[in-house]
Amino acid sequence: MDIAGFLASVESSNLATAIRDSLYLFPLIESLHVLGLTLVFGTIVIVDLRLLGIASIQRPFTRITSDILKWTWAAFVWTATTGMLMFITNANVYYHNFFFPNEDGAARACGVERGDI
Amino acid sequence: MTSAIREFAEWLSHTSPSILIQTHNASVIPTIQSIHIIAIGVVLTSVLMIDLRILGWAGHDQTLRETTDRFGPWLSWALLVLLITGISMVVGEPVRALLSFSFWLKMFLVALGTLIATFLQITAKRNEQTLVNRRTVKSLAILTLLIWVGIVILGRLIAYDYVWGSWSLKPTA
Repeated sequence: MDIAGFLASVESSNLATAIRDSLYLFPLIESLHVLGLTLVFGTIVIVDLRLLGIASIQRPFTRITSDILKWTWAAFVWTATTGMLMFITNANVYYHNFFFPNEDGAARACGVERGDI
Repeated sequence: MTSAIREFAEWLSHTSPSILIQTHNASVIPTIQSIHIIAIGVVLTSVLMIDLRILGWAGHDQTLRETTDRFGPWLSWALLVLLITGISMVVGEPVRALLSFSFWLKMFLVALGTLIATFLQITAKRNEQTLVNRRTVKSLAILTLLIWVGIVILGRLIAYDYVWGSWSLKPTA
């Protein structure tokens, strides 16, 4: 199956149709997506500020990561899931959206970076 | 009351600061919105860290005082950024914001959340030993977190005010 066929089948799935046809599901999913995104960003900032030696410098790095990274990962999975739910409702358009591949690539790059720490 | 808000929003949209934001550049409002979301990330995470410490779920090697000293200033500064960018967005798009039910509910929760967060910070500085195990303070910590989660969700729902049906003041609802 080529990419266009895959996108069309994703878009016509029962889940995508249910989200698209509901007046309330998309706004709710988008709000939950923003919620996850703010937590991914905020928790990464805490770790990065420690790495840069700007904040929490008196605390061992491993203490901070054991407190924080589980929240980062949970929020990352949450954001990716809600993002995917929004994507499937209009897969073809989003796929061809100029900004989307960049956002996707950046998110994957950050995921790899987190995994390496 | 409703017509007064409507008139005020209409008046505001014709003032020079509003026209400046509306017409200066198409990227002004998205840029302000992006800064607003970054600031809310800082606020939400700072609240999360302080609340997790109060609940005993994180920061065991830190006193509550140390945790509030670490995240309190970030919380305050990010709240200031939220206020400035928030006012800019209201001035730039007054009808979109002021006629939205989500906006007013969000403002109520912002006032409540800020009040409780300030109370928790002051209490933490004054009386730390008795504070940590006190059930009411733990309940307040959970409440603040839920309030800020609600604020984030309502912020996005301003764009979809029809979900509130007749509670929305917007003419399209």
